[in-house]
Amino acid sequence: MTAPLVQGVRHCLREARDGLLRHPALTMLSVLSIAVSLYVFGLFALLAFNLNRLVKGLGQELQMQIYLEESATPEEVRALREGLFTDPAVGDVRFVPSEEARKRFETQFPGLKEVTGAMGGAIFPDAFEVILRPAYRDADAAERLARGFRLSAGVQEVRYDRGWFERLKSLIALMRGGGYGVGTLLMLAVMVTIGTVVRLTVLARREEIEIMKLVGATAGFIRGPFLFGAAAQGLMGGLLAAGGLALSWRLFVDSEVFRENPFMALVAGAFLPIGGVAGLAVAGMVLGLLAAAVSLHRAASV
Amino acid sequence: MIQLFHVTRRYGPGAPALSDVSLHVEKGEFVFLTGASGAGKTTLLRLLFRDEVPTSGQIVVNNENVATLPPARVPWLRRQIGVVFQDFKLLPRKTVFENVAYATQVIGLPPKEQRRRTYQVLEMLALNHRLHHFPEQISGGEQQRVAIARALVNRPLILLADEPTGNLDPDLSLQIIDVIKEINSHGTTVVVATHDRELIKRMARRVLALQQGVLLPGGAA
Repeated sequence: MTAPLVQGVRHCLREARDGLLRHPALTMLSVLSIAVSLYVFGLFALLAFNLNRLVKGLGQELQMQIYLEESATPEEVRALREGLFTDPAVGDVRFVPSEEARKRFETQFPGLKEVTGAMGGAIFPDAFEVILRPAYRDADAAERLARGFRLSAGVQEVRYDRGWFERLKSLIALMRGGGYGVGTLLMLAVMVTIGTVVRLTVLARREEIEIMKLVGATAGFIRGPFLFGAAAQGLMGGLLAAGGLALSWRLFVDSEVFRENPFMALVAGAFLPIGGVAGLAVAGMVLGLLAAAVSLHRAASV
Repeated sequence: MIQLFHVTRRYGPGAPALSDVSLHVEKGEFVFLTGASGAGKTTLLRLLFRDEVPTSGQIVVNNENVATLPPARVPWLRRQIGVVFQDFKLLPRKTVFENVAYATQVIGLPPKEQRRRTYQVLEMLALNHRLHHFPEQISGGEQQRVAIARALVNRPLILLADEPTGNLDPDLSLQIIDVIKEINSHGTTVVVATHDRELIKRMARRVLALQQGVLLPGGAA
């Protein structure tokens, strides 16, 4: 059982290699077409990656302040702190004592230092600053939490920026919807490109296929080399796209346009992680395989 | 070995390419299939190796009903049948040796056996001095012998040849027919489609004659 399998894989590899080398112009055209399609997809992925980082950063800005009553007892503060740490919606908690809040205010607004001095410490109560977990960063969840904390003993007031939460929620929804839509379209474009390339290869080797059928080749024997070839072309295209993407990103971040426009740092400041780059190459290979399988199935006689 | 029962093949609304053809070819027999161009010779051969399916009727090849054969079984049917065409159908980018060995790869023979059988059949057809030549570097007669070698290398039960001498001069035609006779003498059933009356007369074998898709009684064309 193993020997025929090994023999079959060897045949596929050898014929795929020969097929690619025998039609160098077609092979090059295929790899370039795949590379361009994946490059465009990669640009989109890069933008999505950076926007995702931006949204995560904005999420960190979303804070909820829980101001404590001046009369809050240490037990009440401890109970509240424990409640916060055990709440699944709470990502991070920081206790800001009255004195620290005053100093922070005075640092931010040095012109008002005398006013705070004249008013005494009562205007800056002790507080907890709460950062919510990403899954809870929407206005409704924040309101639910705030309502609960308001009822806790020792709490004077709970504040958060509802508008900010709502804007963030809309932004994430827009990114998700747009991202899935554009990503799917780009993937389909890559598949159509690879499929067309495979069909061209099939046409170029029609006579050979005819002869293979004549001498009793099975569908697997005929299709195997095309599938291996398409996977190899997809992988090469993916690697080329990843390399091109890295090079063009490097050139872009070194350019004046990037340096002089702070917005660019938000949408293109970071390159894809290594997993993303490898994913591009693997995506090329997988899409190559899928497109080839569909194309060969359509050319039903093969 | 080959049986056709009321086989009709239509390509469109006009007259059928084959009409109600019934015939029987015995195991080990050598028959000529003759008729003018368009008589249906090639269609009949294509039906035998399931390159086409009949519009109606049944075809039995080596006890297998070709007309109802599932697509997945077709390669196995073809491995029992060697086919030779007038235009040779050789792969131009493969050498003589590779063209023949290719057929053995297709059926999954071990590499050693692939080489052994390929050398053997090329030697039998006196092509061992052309092993590493490409088709365009050898003569038409040699190309046809390579095509025959490829058809024979998997030791088929049946050899179908469609105008195998059509592109060759009379001397080369006789050489090719001699090779086919030799193959037949080893028990392979042979069906040769040709419109070369001289060749048929010289060979004195059974003749199946087609005229406008109809098999003529008694073999007269």
